[in-house]
Amino acid sequence: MGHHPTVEREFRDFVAARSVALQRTAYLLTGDWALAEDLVQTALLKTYLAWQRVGGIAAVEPYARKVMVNTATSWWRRRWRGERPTAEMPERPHPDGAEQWLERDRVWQLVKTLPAGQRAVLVLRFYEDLTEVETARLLGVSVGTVKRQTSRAFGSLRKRLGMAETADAMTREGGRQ
Amino acid sequence: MTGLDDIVRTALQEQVQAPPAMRSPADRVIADARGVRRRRALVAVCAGVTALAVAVAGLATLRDVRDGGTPVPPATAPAGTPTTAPPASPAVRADLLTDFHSMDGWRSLHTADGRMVSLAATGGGVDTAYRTAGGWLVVAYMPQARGSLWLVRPDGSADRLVDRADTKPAVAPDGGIAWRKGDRLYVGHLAGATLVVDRSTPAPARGSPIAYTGTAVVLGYSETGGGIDRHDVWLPANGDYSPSWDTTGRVTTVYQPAPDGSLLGLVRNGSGECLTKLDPAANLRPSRTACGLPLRIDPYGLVSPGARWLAAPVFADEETRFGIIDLDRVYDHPAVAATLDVGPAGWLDATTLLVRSGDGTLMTARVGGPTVTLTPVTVPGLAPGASIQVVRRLG
Repeated sequence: MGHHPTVEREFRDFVAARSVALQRTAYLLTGDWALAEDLVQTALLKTYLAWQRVGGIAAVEPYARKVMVNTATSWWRRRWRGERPTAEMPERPHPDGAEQWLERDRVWQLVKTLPAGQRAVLVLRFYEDLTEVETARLLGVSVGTVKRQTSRAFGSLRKRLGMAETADAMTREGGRQ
Repeated sequence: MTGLDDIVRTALQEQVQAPPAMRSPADRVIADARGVRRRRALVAVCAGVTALAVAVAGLATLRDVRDGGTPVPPATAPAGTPTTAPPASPAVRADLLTDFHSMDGWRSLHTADGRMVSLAATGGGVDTAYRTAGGWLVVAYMPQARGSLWLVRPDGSADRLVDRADTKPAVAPDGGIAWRKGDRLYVGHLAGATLVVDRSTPAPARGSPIAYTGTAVVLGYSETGGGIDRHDVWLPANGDYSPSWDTTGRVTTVYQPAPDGSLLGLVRNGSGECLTKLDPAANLRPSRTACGLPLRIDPYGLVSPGARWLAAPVFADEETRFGIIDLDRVYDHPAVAATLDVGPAGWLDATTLLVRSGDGTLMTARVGGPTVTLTPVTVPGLAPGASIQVVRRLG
């Protein structure tokens, strides 16, 4: 009933090498370390069950990441896990100026309030540094949808930050495609 | 000014500079995968002897763990003829928290008689509420204000009973309250609109109340930075707290106390987690256990009034869903009675769970006998699709 020992060994190696990276992305998608752990486990379970179908080791991480993002944006998890106030977070050091740190912290607090789809696009574009095409492929949507989600997310952040329209790289023509 | 995209990029990177230590999930995932395959194989053998047990199709489904999510009777149900759906409940009348916002928590309270009470006087961060004489006990947590407890009256005015607790105060089914503030732990009770401190004790270096049975304060903290994974107990009637932390991680989850004050949780055995009754008077010693259930390590479990049923997160269809567990049977016949593809909002009575589907449709899930019946309901005065949580009644 179990997987072949080679698959189990490959899976353990993959988890050892990549689970922290997945945990980081999961946190940005959920805003809660406990939820991130839950999300990583769910994504890894699906990945493990599909290991042989997914193909070589190079295909595994994109698959796990795709499962994780899609799970994070699914209604179910938002519904029953999302309806809790923001978790109690440990204080983090901020080596540069306090004002800049506060601004970024405010941005992060606002990012957490964005709809799940917009937030996923921001995480993939600005943390994972994926192109619009790669982001669209991972999310299973069109490039146009990625552009719209990015634009709406930035519009919402600007409005709530009280910022004037600026020529952000993502809204300028010629951003990474 | 730096472009917003640069600020976002830096902000995201900063958030994950120092992730908390996470136990390697490989063992857990491999064990869960074995369980999924075992259940799939079992379902394949049992296919064809199931019967429709869901009153409503298309809105939400009751599933077992097969792929495809065909509506089926609970796993413990004998094969039989389809049940007849009872008459649709036209309306549910219960106190509900509503208007959830991820930053502000629950912002309003919808009363059983159809009125809306604003929770703005609490300052935000409302996590849960309990019906009590003269109003509602409301638990809140905000990063700046820390944990607080409020008595909110029907007119929306509020008195702060606990201010700047280290974490969210824990409320016992009998109305007792436990909290940590600074280097002391406290238990107390409400007398009219006044909080009376019954006892306090020096607090440990780490750990705060995560549950209160009325006689035992369960303390917890996270060693890994994830969920609570260290537990201890303070019994106020026995005097000051004396640390006896379980450092083995044997207890992995403690659910909120049942209405009768009993305590359920998960303990780890060699192959996974086991559901068990925990004895708070004996440092959370497990009594009877039910092993092999696909329960998640997650404290979000809801015990029904009467303590017959538990609704708790389970693995199913390779996803986290909600399992209904018959606590009268589970220790002799470990099985999840039914798996719900909806989110539970809370128990309305001993056999009725209020649930909400992905599109916001409210339903009651009626348990008992061999089947669970889902019936669409309305809440007069509540906006369609509103987020809700059932307010529990104390005492």
